Amino acid sequence: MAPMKLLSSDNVEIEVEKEVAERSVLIKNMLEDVGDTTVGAPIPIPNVNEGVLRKVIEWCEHHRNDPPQPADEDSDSRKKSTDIEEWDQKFMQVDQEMLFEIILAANYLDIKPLLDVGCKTVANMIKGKSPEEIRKTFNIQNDFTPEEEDQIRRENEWAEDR
Amino acid sequence: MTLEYAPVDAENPEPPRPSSDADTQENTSIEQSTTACFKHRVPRELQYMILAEAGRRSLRFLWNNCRLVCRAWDHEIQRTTSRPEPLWLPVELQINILEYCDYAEQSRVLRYTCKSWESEIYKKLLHNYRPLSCPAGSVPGANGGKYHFLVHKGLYRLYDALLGNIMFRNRIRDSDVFPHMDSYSQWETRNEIQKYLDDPIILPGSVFLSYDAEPPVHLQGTVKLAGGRGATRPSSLDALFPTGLSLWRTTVRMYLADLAYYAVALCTHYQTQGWENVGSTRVFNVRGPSNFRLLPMEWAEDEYRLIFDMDILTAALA
Repeated sequence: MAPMKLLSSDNVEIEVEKEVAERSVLIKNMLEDVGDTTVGAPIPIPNVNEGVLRKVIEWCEHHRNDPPQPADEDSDSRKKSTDIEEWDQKFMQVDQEMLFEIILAANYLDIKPLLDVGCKTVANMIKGKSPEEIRKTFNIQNDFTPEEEDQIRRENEWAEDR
Repeated sequence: MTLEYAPVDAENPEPPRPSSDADTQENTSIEQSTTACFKHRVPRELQYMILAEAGRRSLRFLWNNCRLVCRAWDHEIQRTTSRPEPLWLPVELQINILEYCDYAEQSRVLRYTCKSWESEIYKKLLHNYRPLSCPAGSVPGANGGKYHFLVHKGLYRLYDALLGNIMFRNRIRDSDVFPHMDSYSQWETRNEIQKYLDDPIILPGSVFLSYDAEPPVHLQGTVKLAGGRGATRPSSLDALFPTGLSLWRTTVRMYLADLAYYAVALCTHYQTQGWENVGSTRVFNVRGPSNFRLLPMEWAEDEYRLIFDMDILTAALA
Protein backbone atom coordinates (compact mmCIF):
# COMPACT_ATOMS: atom_id res chain seq x y z
CA MET A 1 0.00 0.00 0.00
CA ALA A 2 1.43 3.37 -1.01
CA PRO A 3 2.37 5.79 1.72
CA MET A 4 1.14 9.32 2.00
CA LYS A 5 1.89 12.19 4.34
CA LEU A 6 -0.12 14.07 6.90
CA LEU A 7 0.91 17.44 8.22
CA SER A 8 0.12 18.07 11.86
CA SER A 9 -0.85 21.44 13.31
CA ASP A 10 2.71 21.90 14.54
CA ASN A 11 4.05 21.33 11.03
CA VAL A 12 5.35 17.82 11.44
CA GLU A 13 5.03 15.52 8.48
CA ILE A 14 3.95 12.01 9.34
CA GLU A 15 4.05 9.24 6.81
CA VAL A 16 1.15 6.88 6.90
CA GLU A 17 -0.30 4.24 4.64
CA LYS A 18 -3.24 5.42 2.65
CA GLU A 19 -5.36 2.50 3.84
CA VAL A 20 -4.67 3.46 7.44
CA ALA A 21 -5.32 7.16 6.90
CA GLU A 22 -8.60 6.33 5.23
CA ARG A 23 -10.01 5.11 8.52
CA SER A 24 -10.70 8.81 8.84
CA VAL A 25 -13.75 9.69 6.82
CA LEU A 26 -12.50 13.25 6.60
CA ILE A 27 -9.22 12.18 5.01
CA LYS A 28 -10.93 9.60 2.84
CA ASN A 29 -13.28 12.21 1.44
CA MET A 30 -10.43 14.61 1.01
CA LEU A 31 -8.45 12.05 -0.94
CA GLU A 32 -11.41 11.34 -3.14
CA ASP A 33 -11.79 15.03 -3.80
CA VAL A 34 -8.19 15.86 -4.57
CA GLY A 35 -7.16 12.58 -6.17
CA ASP A 36 -3.90 10.72 -5.65
CA THR A 37 -1.71 12.39 -3.05
CA THR A 38 0.80 9.65 -2.52
CA VAL A 39 3.43 11.63 -4.36
CA GLY A 40 2.12 15.09 -3.64
CA ALA A 41 2.11 17.49 -0.77
CA PRO A 42 1.12 16.31 2.69
CA ILE A 43 -2.48 16.66 3.75
CA PRO A 44 -2.71 19.30 6.44
CA ILE A 45 -4.52 18.32 9.62
CA PRO A 46 -4.62 21.75 11.20
CA ASN A 47 -6.58 20.81 14.32
CA VAL A 48 -4.39 17.96 15.51
CA ASN A 49 -0.86 18.21 16.82
CA GLU A 50 1.88 15.68 16.18
CA GLY A 51 1.55 13.76 19.44
CA VAL A 52 -2.17 13.27 19.09
CA LEU A 53 -1.97 12.56 15.39
CA ARG A 54 0.57 9.81 16.00
CA LYS A 55 -1.72 8.33 18.62
CA VAL A 56 -4.66 8.42 16.26
CA ILE A 57 -2.59 6.80 13.52
CA GLU A 58 -1.53 4.10 15.96
CA TRP A 59 -5.17 3.33 16.60
CA CYS A 60 -5.99 3.36 12.90
CA GLU A 61 -3.11 1.00 12.17
CA HIS A 62 -4.31 -1.47 14.74
CA HIS A 63 -7.85 -1.30 13.45
CA ARG A 64 -7.00 -1.12 9.78
CA ASN A 65 -8.74 -4.42 9.03
CA ASP A 66 -11.85 -3.79 11.07
CA PRO A 67 -15.03 -4.12 9.05
CA PRO A 68 -16.74 -0.83 8.30
CA GLN A 69 -19.55 0.15 10.61
CA PRO A 70 -23.07 -0.37 9.33
CA ALA A 71 -24.83 2.77 8.23
CA ASP A 72 -27.29 2.67 11.09
CA GLU A 73 -24.64 2.35 13.74
CA ASP A 74 -25.93 5.41 15.47
CA SER A 75 -28.56 3.17 16.92
CA ASP A 76 -28.73 2.31 20.58
CA SER A 77 -27.06 -1.07 20.24
CA ARG A 78 -23.67 0.54 19.74
CA LYS A 79 -24.10 3.06 22.48
CA LYS A 80 -25.58 0.85 25.12
CA SER A 81 -22.42 -1.06 25.87
CA THR A 82 -19.53 0.47 27.72
CA ASP A 83 -17.37 -2.57 27.06
CA ILE A 84 -14.04 -1.72 25.53
CA GLU A 85 -11.81 -4.34 24.02
CA GLU A 86 -8.54 -4.95 25.76
CA TRP A 87 -6.23 -3.35 23.24
CA ASP A 88 -8.34 -0.21 23.15
CA GLN A 89 -8.40 -0.07 26.93
CA LYS A 90 -4.61 -0.05 27.01
CA PHE A 91 -4.50 2.43 24.17
CA MET A 92 -6.70 4.78 26.14
CA GLN A 93 -4.55 4.61 29.23
CA VAL A 94 -3.29 8.15 28.77
CA ASP A 95 -3.68 11.28 30.81
CA GLN A 96 -6.98 13.05 30.64
CA GLU A 97 -5.72 15.81 28.44
CA MET A 98 -4.52 13.36 25.83
CA LEU A 99 -7.77 11.43 26.12
CA PHE A 100 -9.78 14.55 25.39
CA GLU A 101 -7.40 15.44 22.58
CA ILE A 102 -7.96 12.02 21.05
CA ILE A 103 -11.73 12.43 21.30
CA LEU A 104 -11.55 15.84 19.70
CA ALA A 105 -9.27 14.52 16.97
CA ALA A 106 -11.52 11.52 16.34
CA ASN A 107 -14.47 13.85 16.09
CA TYR A 108 -12.63 16.20 13.74
CA LEU A 109 -11.21 13.43 11.59
CA ASP A 110 -14.55 11.63 11.65
CA ILE A 111 -13.33 8.30 12.97
CA LYS A 112 -16.49 7.10 14.66
CA PRO A 113 -15.16 3.88 16.20
CA LEU A 114 -12.33 5.79 17.85
CA LEU A 115 -14.75 8.44 19.02
CA ASP A 116 -16.88 5.67 20.52
CA VAL A 117 -13.95 4.19 22.37
CA GLY A 118 -12.99 7.63 23.70
CA CYS A 119 -16.50 8.40 24.81
CA LYS A 120 -16.89 5.01 26.47
CA THR A 121 -13.63 5.56 28.30
CA VAL A 122 -14.78 8.90 29.63
CA ALA A 123 -18.20 7.49 30.50
CA ASN A 124 -16.48 4.81 32.54
CA MET A 125 -14.30 7.46 34.15
CA ILE A 126 -17.22 9.46 35.47
CA LYS A 127 -19.00 6.50 36.97
CA GLY A 128 -19.37 7.00 40.67
CA LYS A 129 -18.16 10.58 40.59
CA SER A 130 -19.98 13.41 42.27
CA PRO A 131 -21.38 16.28 40.22
CA GLU A 132 -18.55 18.49 41.42
CA GLU A 133 -15.95 15.95 40.34
CA ILE A 134 -17.65 15.61 36.98
CA ARG A 135 -17.63 19.36 36.54
CA LYS A 136 -13.93 19.39 37.26
CA THR A 137 -13.31 16.57 34.84
CA PHE A 138 -15.09 18.36 32.04
CA ASN A 139 -14.24 21.88 33.07
CA ILE A 140 -17.93 22.66 33.26
CA GLN A 141 -19.33 25.59 35.14
CA ASN A 142 -22.20 24.93 37.48
CA ASP A 143 -24.90 27.08 35.91
CA PHE A 144 -27.73 26.07 38.21
CA THR A 145 -29.19 28.61 40.54
CA PRO A 146 -29.55 27.38 44.12
CA GLU A 147 -33.31 27.20 43.55
CA GLU A 148 -32.88 25.02 40.48
CA GLU A 149 -30.50 22.75 42.30
CA ASP A 150 -32.97 22.50 45.10
CA GLN A 151 -35.71 21.62 42.66
CA ILE A 152 -33.66 18.74 41.26
CA ARG A 153 -32.85 17.60 44.76
CA ARG A 154 -36.52 17.53 45.65
CA GLU A 155 -37.36 15.62 42.52
CA ASN A 156 -34.67 13.12 43.25
CA GLU A 157 -35.81 12.73 46.82
CA TRP A 158 -39.33 12.10 45.69
CA ALA A 159 -38.21 9.51 43.22
CA GLU A 160 -35.96 7.80 45.73
CA ASP A 161 -38.52 7.74 48.46
CA ARG A 162 -40.06 4.29 48.08
CA MET B 1 20.60 40.31 18.35
CA THR B 2 19.82 42.86 21.01
CA LEU B 3 19.74 41.34 24.43
CA GLU B 4 17.58 42.85 27.08
CA TYR B 5 19.30 43.27 30.38
CA ALA B 6 17.67 42.32 33.55
CA PRO B 7 16.44 45.30 35.48
CA VAL B 8 17.94 46.10 38.76
CA ASP B 9 16.24 44.95 41.90
CA ALA B 10 14.01 48.03 41.95
CA GLU B 11 11.70 46.25 39.54
CA ASN B 12 11.06 43.60 42.09
CA PRO B 13 11.27 45.10 45.49
CA GLU B 14 9.35 42.29 47.11
CA PRO B 15 9.13 38.63 46.29
CA PRO B 16 5.76 37.49 44.98
CA ARG B 17 5.04 35.23 47.91
CA PRO B 18 6.39 34.78 51.38
CA SER B 19 8.96 32.11 51.76
CA SER B 20 9.58 29.70 54.53
CA ASP B 21 12.79 29.66 56.51
CA ALA B 22 13.99 26.69 54.58
CA ASP B 23 13.25 28.44 51.32
CA THR B 24 15.04 31.55 52.49
CA GLN B 25 18.12 29.59 53.36
CA GLU B 26 18.11 27.86 49.99
CA ASN B 27 17.45 31.14 48.29
CA THR B 28 20.33 32.79 50.04
CA SER B 29 22.61 30.03 48.96
CA ILE B 30 21.42 30.44 45.38
CA GLU B 31 22.01 34.16 45.49
CA GLN B 32 25.47 33.62 46.93
CA SER B 33 26.35 31.08 44.33
CA THR B 34 24.90 33.28 41.60
CA THR B 35 26.85 36.24 42.85
CA ALA B 36 29.93 34.13 42.82
CA CYS B 37 29.33 32.97 39.27
CA PHE B 38 28.20 36.16 37.58
CA LYS B 39 30.19 39.31 38.15
CA HIS B 40 28.12 41.29 35.65
CA ARG B 41 24.51 41.54 34.74
CA VAL B 42 23.32 38.56 32.81
CA PRO B 43 21.21 39.18 29.74
CA ARG B 44 17.54 38.30 30.25
CA GLU B 45 17.54 35.69 27.52
CA LEU B 46 20.46 33.94 29.11
CA GLN B 47 18.69 34.02 32.44
CA TYR B 48 15.73 32.33 30.84
CA MET B 49 17.92 29.71 29.24
CA ILE B 50 19.35 28.96 32.65
CA LEU B 51 15.89 28.78 34.09
CA ALA B 52 14.85 26.36 31.37
CA GLU B 53 17.84 24.20 32.18
CA ALA B 54 17.05 24.35 35.88
CA GLY B 55 13.48 23.40 35.09
CA ARG B 56 14.62 20.36 33.21
CA ARG B 57 16.52 19.25 36.30
CA SER B 58 13.91 20.07 38.89
CA LEU B 59 10.59 21.77 38.43
CA ARG B 60 10.20 21.87 42.18
CA PHE B 61 13.39 23.85 42.50
CA LEU B 62 12.06 26.38 40.03
CA TRP B 63 8.77 26.77 41.81
CA ASN B 64 10.14 26.79 45.32
CA ASN B 65 13.06 29.11 44.81
CA CYS B 66 13.54 30.73 41.47
CA ARG B 67 10.11 32.28 41.35
CA LEU B 68 11.15 34.36 44.32
CA VAL B 69 14.11 35.91 42.62
CA CYS B 70 12.25 38.61 40.74
CA ARG B 71 8.98 39.30 39.07
CA ALA B 72 10.37 38.66 35.61
CA TRP B 73 11.60 35.24 36.66
CA ASP B 74 8.31 34.53 38.32
CA HIS B 75 6.43 35.38 35.13
CA GLU B 76 8.77 33.39 32.97
CA ILE B 77 8.57 30.33 35.20
CA GLN B 78 4.81 30.51 35.31
CA ARG B 79 4.65 30.96 31.57
CA THR B 80 6.88 28.04 30.77
CA THR B 81 5.82 25.60 33.41
CA SER B 82 2.19 26.13 34.13
CA ARG B 83 -0.14 23.62 32.59
CA PRO B 84 -2.65 24.88 30.07
CA GLU B 85 -6.26 25.28 31.05
CA PRO B 86 -8.04 21.97 31.30
CA LEU B 87 -9.14 20.87 27.89
CA TRP B 88 -12.76 21.57 27.19
CA LEU B 89 -14.96 19.22 25.26
CA PRO B 90 -17.74 20.81 23.25
CA VAL B 91 -21.22 20.18 24.58
CA GLU B 92 -22.05 17.97 21.60
CA LEU B 93 -19.24 15.63 22.57
CA GLN B 94 -20.22 15.75 26.23
CA ILE B 95 -23.71 14.71 25.19
CA ASN B 96 -22.20 11.98 23.08
CA ILE B 97 -20.40 10.70 26.15
CA LEU B 98 -23.64 10.77 28.09
CA GLU B 99 -25.02 8.27 25.60
CA TYR B 100 -22.82 5.68 27.22
CA CYS B 101 -23.86 6.41 30.75
CA ASP B 102 -26.37 4.30 32.53
CA TYR B 103 -29.22 6.71 33.05
CA ALA B 104 -31.07 4.54 35.47
CA GLU B 105 -28.09 4.40 37.78
CA GLN B 106 -26.46 7.72 37.16
CA SER B 107 -29.19 10.14 36.25
CA ARG B 108 -29.57 11.50 39.74
CA VAL B 109 -25.95 12.54 39.83
CA LEU B 110 -25.40 13.45 36.22
CA ARG B 111 -28.33 15.79 35.97
CA TYR B 112 -26.82 17.98 38.67
CA THR B 113 -23.80 18.72 36.53
CA CYS B 114 -25.16 21.57 34.44
CA LYS B 115 -28.28 22.66 32.65
CA SER B 116 -27.40 21.19 29.28
CA TRP B 117 -26.72 17.80 30.86
CA GLU B 118 -29.90 18.00 32.87
CA SER B 119 -31.90 18.75 29.78
CA GLU B 120 -30.31 15.91 27.86
CA ILE B 121 -30.80 13.38 30.62
CA TYR B 122 -34.36 14.47 30.99
CA LYS B 123 -34.98 13.74 27.33
CA LYS B 124 -33.26 10.39 27.63
CA LEU B 125 -35.46 9.43 30.50
CA LEU B 126 -38.46 10.12 28.37
CA HIS B 127 -37.04 7.78 25.77
CA ASN B 128 -37.24 4.98 28.29
CA TYR B 129 -40.88 4.87 27.50
CA ARG B 130 -40.70 2.40 24.71
CA PRO B 131 -43.54 0.92 22.73
CA LEU B 132 -42.78 -2.65 23.62
CA SER B 133 -42.71 -2.04 27.34
CA CYS B 134 -46.20 -0.72 27.55
CA PRO B 135 -49.67 -1.15 26.26
CA ALA B 136 -50.69 1.11 23.49
CA GLY B 137 -53.77 1.90 21.58
CA SER B 138 -55.01 3.93 18.72
CA VAL B 139 -57.42 6.70 18.54
CA PRO B 140 -59.58 6.12 15.52
CA GLY B 141 -59.55 9.55 14.00
CA ALA B 142 -62.58 10.66 12.09
CA ASN B 143 -60.42 11.29 9.06
CA GLY B 144 -58.37 8.16 9.43
CA GLY B 145 -55.58 9.85 11.33
CA LYS B 146 -53.72 8.00 14.04
CA TYR B 147 -52.65 9.07 17.49
CA HIS B 148 -50.21 7.28 19.61
CA PHE B 149 -49.29 7.13 23.19
CA LEU B 150 -46.76 5.59 25.46
CA VAL B 151 -47.10 4.62 29.04
CA HIS B 152 -44.38 4.09 31.52
CA LYS B 153 -44.15 0.45 32.43
CA GLY B 154 -44.78 1.38 36.03
CA LEU B 155 -47.48 3.82 35.15
CA TYR B 156 -49.71 1.94 32.83
CA ARG B 157 -51.43 0.19 35.68
CA LEU B 158 -52.50 3.55 36.95
CA TYR B 159 -53.56 4.42 33.47
CA ASP B 160 -55.51 1.19 33.23
CA ALA B 161 -57.16 1.87 36.54
CA LEU B 162 -58.21 5.31 35.49
CA LEU B 163 -59.26 4.29 32.07
CA GLY B 164 -61.18 1.31 33.31
CA ASN B 165 -62.85 3.44 35.87
CA ILE B 166 -63.86 6.09 33.41
CA MET B 167 -65.03 3.62 30.84
CA PHE B 168 -66.98 1.67 33.36
CA ARG B 169 -68.71 4.71 34.68
CA ASN B 170 -69.55 5.92 31.23
CA ARG B 171 -70.47 2.46 29.97
CA ILE B 172 -67.97 2.58 27.16
CA ARG B 173 -66.70 -0.68 25.79
CA ASP B 174 -63.03 -1.18 25.10
CA SER B 175 -63.72 -1.86 21.48
CA ASP B 176 -65.37 1.51 21.09
CA VAL B 177 -62.23 3.30 21.99
CA PHE B 178 -59.55 0.84 20.95
CA PRO B 179 -60.69 -0.92 17.83
CA HIS B 180 -57.18 -1.66 16.61
CA MET B 181 -55.51 -2.85 19.72
CA ASP B 182 -53.39 -5.42 17.94
CA SER B 183 -51.67 -3.10 15.55
CA TYR B 184 -50.04 -0.80 18.06
CA SER B 185 -46.57 -2.13 17.48
CA GLN B 186 -46.50 -0.65 14.00
CA TRP B 187 -46.87 2.88 15.16
CA GLU B 188 -44.25 5.46 15.50
CA THR B 189 -45.06 6.63 18.92
CA ARG B 190 -42.09 8.63 19.93
CA ASN B 191 -42.28 11.41 17.38
CA GLU B 192 -45.93 11.87 17.96
CA ILE B 193 -45.71 12.14 21.66
CA GLN B 194 -42.60 14.25 21.56
CA LYS B 195 -44.55 17.05 19.96
CA TYR B 196 -46.14 17.99 23.17
CA LEU B 197 -43.88 16.38 25.70
CA ASP B 198 -41.19 18.89 24.91
CA ASP B 199 -43.48 21.76 25.72
CA PRO B 200 -42.38 23.15 29.05
CA ILE B 201 -45.93 23.52 30.21
CA ILE B 202 -46.80 20.42 32.08
CA LEU B 203 -45.95 21.55 35.51
CA PRO B 204 -48.11 22.00 38.54
CA GLY B 205 -50.54 24.65 37.47
CA SER B 206 -52.27 25.30 34.27
CA VAL B 207 -51.97 22.81 31.50
CA PHE B 208 -52.70 23.20 27.89
CA LEU B 209 -52.10 20.37 25.50
CA SER B 210 -52.76 20.28 21.86
CA TYR B 211 -52.88 17.55 19.29
CA ASP B 212 -52.44 18.21 15.64
CA ALA B 213 -55.78 16.64 15.16
CA GLU B 214 -58.61 17.37 12.83
CA PRO B 215 -60.63 18.67 14.49
CA PRO B 216 -58.08 19.78 17.06
CA VAL B 217 -58.61 18.67 20.60
CA HIS B 218 -57.40 20.82 23.41
CA LEU B 219 -57.01 19.88 26.99
CA GLN B 220 -57.03 22.38 29.72
CA GLY B 221 -56.75 21.69 33.33
CA THR B 222 -54.79 21.72 36.47
CA VAL B 223 -52.61 19.16 38.08
CA LYS B 224 -52.22 19.15 41.77
CA LEU B 225 -49.11 17.51 42.98
CA ALA B 226 -48.80 16.90 46.62
CA GLY B 227 -45.06 16.53 46.64
CA GLY B 228 -43.08 15.43 49.60
CA ARG B 229 -42.01 12.31 51.26
CA GLY B 230 -43.58 9.06 52.28
CA ALA B 231 -46.13 10.40 54.65
CA THR B 232 -48.09 12.09 51.93
CA ARG B 233 -47.92 9.22 49.52
CA PRO B 234 -50.65 6.68 49.83
CA SER B 235 -49.32 3.19 50.06
CA SER B 236 -51.60 2.13 47.25
CA LEU B 237 -49.64 4.35 44.93
CA ASP B 238 -46.46 2.51 45.76
CA ALA B 239 -48.16 -0.71 44.95
CA LEU B 240 -48.96 0.63 41.53
CA PHE B 241 -45.35 1.46 40.81
CA PRO B 242 -43.44 -1.69 41.55
CA THR B 243 -40.45 -0.57 39.57
CA GLY B 244 -40.33 2.80 41.21
CA LEU B 245 -40.88 6.09 39.57
CA SER B 246 -38.31 8.03 37.74
CA LEU B 247 -38.50 11.74 38.05
CA TRP B 248 -41.92 12.86 38.97
CA ARG B 249 -41.96 15.61 36.42
CA THR B 250 -41.33 13.06 33.74
CA THR B 251 -43.99 10.87 35.19
CA VAL B 252 -46.51 13.64 35.21
CA ARG B 253 -45.70 14.43 31.63
CA MET B 254 -46.26 10.87 30.69
CA TYR B 255 -49.39 10.72 32.69
CA LEU B 256 -50.71 13.72 30.89
CA ALA B 257 -49.66 12.25 27.60
CA ASP B 258 -51.81 9.28 28.43
CA LEU B 259 -54.54 11.56 29.52
CA ALA B 260 -54.33 13.53 26.31
CA TYR B 261 -54.47 10.35 24.34
CA TYR B 262 -57.35 9.09 26.35
CA ALA B 263 -59.25 12.34 25.99
CA VAL B 264 -58.71 12.28 22.27
CA ALA B 265 -60.00 8.75 22.25
CA LEU B 266 -63.12 9.75 24.06
CA CYS B 267 -63.66 12.76 21.90
CA THR B 268 -63.19 10.80 18.76
CA HIS B 269 -65.44 8.15 20.06
CA TYR B 270 -68.19 10.63 20.64
CA GLN B 271 -67.48 12.35 17.41
CA THR B 272 -67.87 9.05 15.64
CA GLN B 273 -70.97 8.22 17.56
CA GLY B 274 -72.33 11.66 17.13
CA TRP B 275 -71.66 14.21 19.76
CA GLU B 276 -75.23 15.40 19.72
CA ASN B 277 -76.27 12.00 20.94
CA VAL B 278 -74.20 12.48 24.03
CA GLY B 279 -75.07 16.04 24.67
CA SER B 280 -72.66 18.89 24.88
CA THR B 281 -73.25 19.36 28.54
CA ARG B 282 -72.45 15.84 29.52
CA VAL B 283 -69.90 15.56 32.23
CA PHE B 284 -67.61 12.60 32.43
CA ASN B 285 -67.59 12.62 36.11
CA VAL B 286 -65.16 10.09 37.33
CA ARG B 287 -64.55 11.40 40.77
CA GLY B 288 -64.32 8.85 43.47
CA PRO B 289 -61.54 6.34 43.36
CA SER B 290 -59.38 8.17 40.89
CA ASN B 291 -60.30 11.66 41.96
CA PHE B 292 -60.23 12.51 38.32
CA ARG B 293 -62.66 14.65 36.47
CA LEU B 294 -62.92 15.12 32.77
CA LEU B 295 -65.64 17.12 31.20
CA PRO B 296 -66.22 18.77 27.87
CA MET B 297 -66.16 22.45 28.51
CA GLU B 298 -66.97 23.77 25.14
CA TRP B 299 -67.95 22.34 21.90
CA ALA B 300 -67.33 24.51 18.90
CA GLU B 301 -67.40 23.67 15.23
CA ASP B 302 -63.74 23.16 14.89
CA GLU B 303 -62.57 21.85 18.20
CA TYR B 304 -63.33 20.11 21.42
CA ARG B 305 -62.37 21.56 24.69
CA LEU B 306 -62.06 19.53 27.79
CA ILE B 307 -61.13 20.31 31.27
CA PHE B 308 -59.79 17.97 33.84
CA ASP B 309 -58.64 18.07 37.38
CA MET B 310 -56.67 15.44 39.02
CA ASP B 311 -54.69 15.01 42.10
CA ILE B 312 -52.26 12.28 41.43
CA LEU B 313 -50.76 11.77 44.81
CA THR B 314 -53.90 11.89 46.82
CA ALA B 315 -55.77 9.68 44.44
CA ALA B 316 -57.12 6.62 46.14
CA LEU B 317 -56.18 4.06 43.62
CA ALA B 318 -56.92 0.89 45.40
